Amino acid sequence: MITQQIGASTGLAPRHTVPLPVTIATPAIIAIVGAMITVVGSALPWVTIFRGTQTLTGWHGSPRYLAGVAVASIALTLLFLWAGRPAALRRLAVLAGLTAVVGVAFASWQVAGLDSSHSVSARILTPVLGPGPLIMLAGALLLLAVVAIPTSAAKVPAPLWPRVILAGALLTAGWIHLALTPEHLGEATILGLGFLAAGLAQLALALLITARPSDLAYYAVVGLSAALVVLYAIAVLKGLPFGGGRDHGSGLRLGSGEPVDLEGAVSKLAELFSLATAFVLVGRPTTPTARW
Amino acid sequence: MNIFGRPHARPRRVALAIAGFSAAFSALLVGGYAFASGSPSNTLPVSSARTPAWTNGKTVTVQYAQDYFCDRTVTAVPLAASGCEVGAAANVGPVANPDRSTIYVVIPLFANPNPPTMCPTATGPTPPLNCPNHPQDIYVPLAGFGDIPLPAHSHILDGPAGGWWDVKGVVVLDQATWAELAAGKSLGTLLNIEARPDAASHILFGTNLPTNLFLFFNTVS
Repeated sequence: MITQQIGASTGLAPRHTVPLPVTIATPAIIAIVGAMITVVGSALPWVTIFRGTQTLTGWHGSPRYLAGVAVASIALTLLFLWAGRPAALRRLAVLAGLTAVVGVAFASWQVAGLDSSHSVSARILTPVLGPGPLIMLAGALLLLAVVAIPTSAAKVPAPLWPRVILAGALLTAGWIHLALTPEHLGEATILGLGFLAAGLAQLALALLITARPSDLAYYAVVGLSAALVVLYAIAVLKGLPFGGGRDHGSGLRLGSGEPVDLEGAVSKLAELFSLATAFVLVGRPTTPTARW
Repeated sequence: MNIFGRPHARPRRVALAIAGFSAAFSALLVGGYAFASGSPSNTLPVSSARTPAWTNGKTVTVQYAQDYFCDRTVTAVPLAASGCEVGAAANVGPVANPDRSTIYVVIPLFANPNPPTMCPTATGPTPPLNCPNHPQDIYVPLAGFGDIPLPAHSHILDGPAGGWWDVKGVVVLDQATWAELAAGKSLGTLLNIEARPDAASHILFGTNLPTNLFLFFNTVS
């Protein structure tokens, strides 16, 4: 049941929980279903290539990151409801939802464009669209149901912003780890499980920091981020001992290990930012206002 | 507006200690694992790895003494892509000497080729089921995807030489042609098929599909 916290916008205690009116609950449920459909669509076949001998799901390419954007949109929608429906959070949820819609539509259009061309690449690849793009696009469109939820006059409590930004950085790094889990599982089981554990831990911490901030949670962010940054530095400068001697593609080579690619750079920047932000936030009073 | 509240010094010292301990612990963990498993902390090629190949009517064994090379000057998306492409010839090779042998990487574009490919997977099982010192991924101009796992393939050599090999792609469209190549086990068989009037319906682009990829191996038996 979708509920809202009475007194959430003011930060006054005590608070109690009441069911949301149907005009708010219905679009919220639609958006939640949309997020689930988007994630499912990303895992379905997007395109078959090489005359149907190889199937690529969204998790082979950029659609996996668009699924992450959809998760961010629904997280912001729920935060919007929980925080008393301040307009700023709805704008962010809509922005993330629109990004998912435009991204999925653009990716589908480009794949379909190659399918209909007669270039050398098209003749080798013979790409045929699967159900993934359409299902993902339908799900992403449902995310925009959040615009039907009326806003209130409430403002986002000031102490919430740094935590939302920290949670965003953790979500970014965590989703990249989850997105890279399948290919690292293929490389070495221990490596894949490490990516999975890191991703899930970062997502859990993003939730915890937003909903129940505490020094313990900030300590966990600091510890996890420091460990992951050091592990990546070793992987880049020297190489990890459980990679099986696999190629890691191209990028900026800084040592004898794997090159720094776009995903690695973004996730490590997000972790360094998380570490610094958690360090700033730790020890701050967690009053009822800070917890809204 | 102070959105942070007043800081306390002690929790920050604790956070600093946690960061230091966590960083040191993870580094020691990796070092300990490397020491215990005897595995070096780097991504050196699997120098002892071998695969079969066809040449002069027989199946030979080749050993990959070095990792592959792809000329990244032709790569469309340098930061994200694997650096290896099919359909784009290299501008420069791994060494200055242009006199290299050619390996034809034969890719079946149909299900369940018989006999099975020499390199069925790019990842997963250890050699020879995967392809040692091959690129794990290959770039394709498919927006939103870019790198895809290296397709399953077999090898035809233009002779029993060693050193750096220029890789050319051969795309086989049907089982009958695949079986003919497997029976002939030679470049001559491939060229015969290419010379037929209906070659285009059996082998896409003949033997003229360039790549920017080079492999390093020696024929050992």
